[in-house]
Amino acid sequence: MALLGPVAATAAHALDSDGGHAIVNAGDVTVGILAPRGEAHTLAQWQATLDALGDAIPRITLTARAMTLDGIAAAVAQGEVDFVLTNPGQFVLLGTPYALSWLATLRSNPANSARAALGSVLWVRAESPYRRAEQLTGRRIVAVHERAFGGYLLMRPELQAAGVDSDEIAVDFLGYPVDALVYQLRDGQAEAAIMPVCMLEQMVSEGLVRRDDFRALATDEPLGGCVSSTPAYPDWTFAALPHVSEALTGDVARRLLAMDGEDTARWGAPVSAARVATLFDDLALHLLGEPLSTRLMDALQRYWHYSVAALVLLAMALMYHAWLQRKARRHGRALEATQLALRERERELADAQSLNVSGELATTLAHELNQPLAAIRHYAEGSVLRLQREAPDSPLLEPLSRIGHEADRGAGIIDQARQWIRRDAPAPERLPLHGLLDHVRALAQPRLKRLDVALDRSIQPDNLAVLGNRLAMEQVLGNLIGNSLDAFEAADRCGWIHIDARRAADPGQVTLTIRDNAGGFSPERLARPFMPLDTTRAQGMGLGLVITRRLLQRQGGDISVGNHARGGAEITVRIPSAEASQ
Amino acid sequence: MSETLAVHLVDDDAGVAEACRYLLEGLGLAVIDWRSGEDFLAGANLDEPAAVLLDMRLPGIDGRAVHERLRAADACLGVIILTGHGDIDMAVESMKRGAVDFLQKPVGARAMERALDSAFARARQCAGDRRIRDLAATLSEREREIARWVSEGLTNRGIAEALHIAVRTVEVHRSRVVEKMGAANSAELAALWQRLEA
Repeated sequence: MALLGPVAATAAHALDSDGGHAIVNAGDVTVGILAPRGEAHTLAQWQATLDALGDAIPRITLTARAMTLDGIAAAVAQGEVDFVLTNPGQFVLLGTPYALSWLATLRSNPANSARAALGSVLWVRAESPYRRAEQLTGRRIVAVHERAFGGYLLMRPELQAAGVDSDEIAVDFLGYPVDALVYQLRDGQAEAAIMPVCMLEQMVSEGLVRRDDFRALATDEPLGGCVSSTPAYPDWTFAALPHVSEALTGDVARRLLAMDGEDTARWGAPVSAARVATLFDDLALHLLGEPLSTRLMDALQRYWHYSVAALVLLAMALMYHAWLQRKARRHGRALEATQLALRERERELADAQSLNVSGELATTLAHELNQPLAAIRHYAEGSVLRLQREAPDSPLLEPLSRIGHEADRGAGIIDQARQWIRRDAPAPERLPLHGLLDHVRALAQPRLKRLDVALDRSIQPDNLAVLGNRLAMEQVLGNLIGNSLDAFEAADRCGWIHIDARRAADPGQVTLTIRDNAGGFSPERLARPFMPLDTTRAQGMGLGLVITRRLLQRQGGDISVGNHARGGAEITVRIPSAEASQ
Repeated sequence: MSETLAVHLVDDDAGVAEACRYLLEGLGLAVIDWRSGEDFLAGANLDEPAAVLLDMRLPGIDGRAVHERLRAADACLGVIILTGHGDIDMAVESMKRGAVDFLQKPVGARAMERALDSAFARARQCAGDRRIRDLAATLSEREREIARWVSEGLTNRGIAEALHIAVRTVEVHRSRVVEKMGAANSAELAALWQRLEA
């Protein structure tokens, strides 16, 4: 059986559909019908319905044309048909751009509702070893068309959900008729076939194949006695093109709904295709279902002169930009580089800080949630232990131990989320304190100036260096100076910050003491300086010190906070020295 | 030696501590619980061998610092670190500091039991070693010498020859040493002494 070619394409410069057609109210009327089983089968299937329609509306002569998916799309675009009868997938794709009106939804199986009549099935041979879709990875699968609604389109999300990546399976699209797929599968040329629901059962009832030769990898509700591997979607739709008169459209709709379903098809009121539209959104299909690349090429060809103009403009803009750049570079290359580096570093610090904040929040949350989970697990297992002694055949033993397992599972989820957010710290390096403090001062300079705070330092010996991660250490010092400046700002006073660096009593460690005269910590804060989620600042999350401590501990250092006698904070940081051979 | 030891539970979360006590008592253990590191360090009898379930996150001095102080106090305690956030670095660090085990909340009963068994064993071993050291400290120089020879497996005659003293004198010393060290016989004394020298 030959495949249907698309409707003979008219010349490339044909008029648009809204340009060429008179309003159709009588005369020759063409219905384009989707033909999944080939032309002969389709025409035979619909003949009675179309005859009944033609008899009921004497002023028209009906002609049916069996078509492929691409054929219908082209015919609708060119306005070469007056009505279409097609699956809801294609209706959604064509309906909006071509303003189709929806007359009736097919009730192909009285046992089904019209809302749930279409689906796809993944068939394999009965004797084949496949039990699950993912076993088909790398095997030859056949389907009709990548945009066949009751076929590949519906199956794709199911395959993805089963963990089969669409890149990993080789699907061959053979086109209509569907029968060819079944024969290929039966004869071992393919390992699986994606088919519209009920199609194989119908071939069985026609005596073409044996039901026992096939097995469906069915995962869903059966549809009216047929197996289905996907959720159900609405049935086929009878729709009119916009150039058909309202009178004729109304007549056709009324006649369709009045059919008794004896030897004609049975019809119901049009069913919403919202679910179809949602599915398409998920699949990110384009309006006419063409791949984006094709549409881009189309647009480029159609608007090539604009494209060229845009390119020329772009080139000019680039040249102008380059010229400006050169001029700017000639003016202040050194200044710009410094500025850029500073901004870059500032951004990195901000990134690191925000990552740390989310990491710290996740850690806090994980801990807080872990506490009740731990309690749940302890109670459950404590109860199991007691029951095993006192009532070893109690039916409560099973659910109680499950409670314990579930608590554990919850903890596992939390832990995964936490690990995902955490980043691994890079290896430590030697950081001379002079350079480090210069850099931190440069970053804080604008605020120091604005708040009129003097930052000075003493480093003993002069070449003292610590061993740590540069970004983390900058962040630690930046946070501490930032906290101090926050305190100055809150107290609305100017003053000084002094940083003193020296070898610690403990060899292999350096002590940094940071003092200010901004008033110091409140007694409440000093009682719990490192408890997260409480803050003395209106903004901020009170995580600054927590993060600072965490960063230091990860580098083998530590921090303690207090006040000194002259009305200010005194923070002591210990960090491994780069001097002693570690 | 094998009477059950107590478990110190140091956790600031009353709900978790209550639940944990319920579980441990279900395992037939005696639990003493503490709400903070300071309370535990101030209130617990650190000379008694016991197991400690130590939560890392505590207000005031945190789990790390508590662990540090226990080490400094040379207490015979098998310490198990509990944490609600399985921080690998922290685990490695606490194991280096001599923790028996490191458990991530929520801890299952079986893991808890296994860890506690090791903790008790560690505490008993430590207490035993300490007792032997204390007893050995009561020996005179000569008695110590005799004990060393005994542990080398020498007979009374051999020892007498080596020390140039009478066999009878060796016998007297030897029974004194066995008695002082709380050993049943010379063989047990030899075993105790070897453990002390190890």
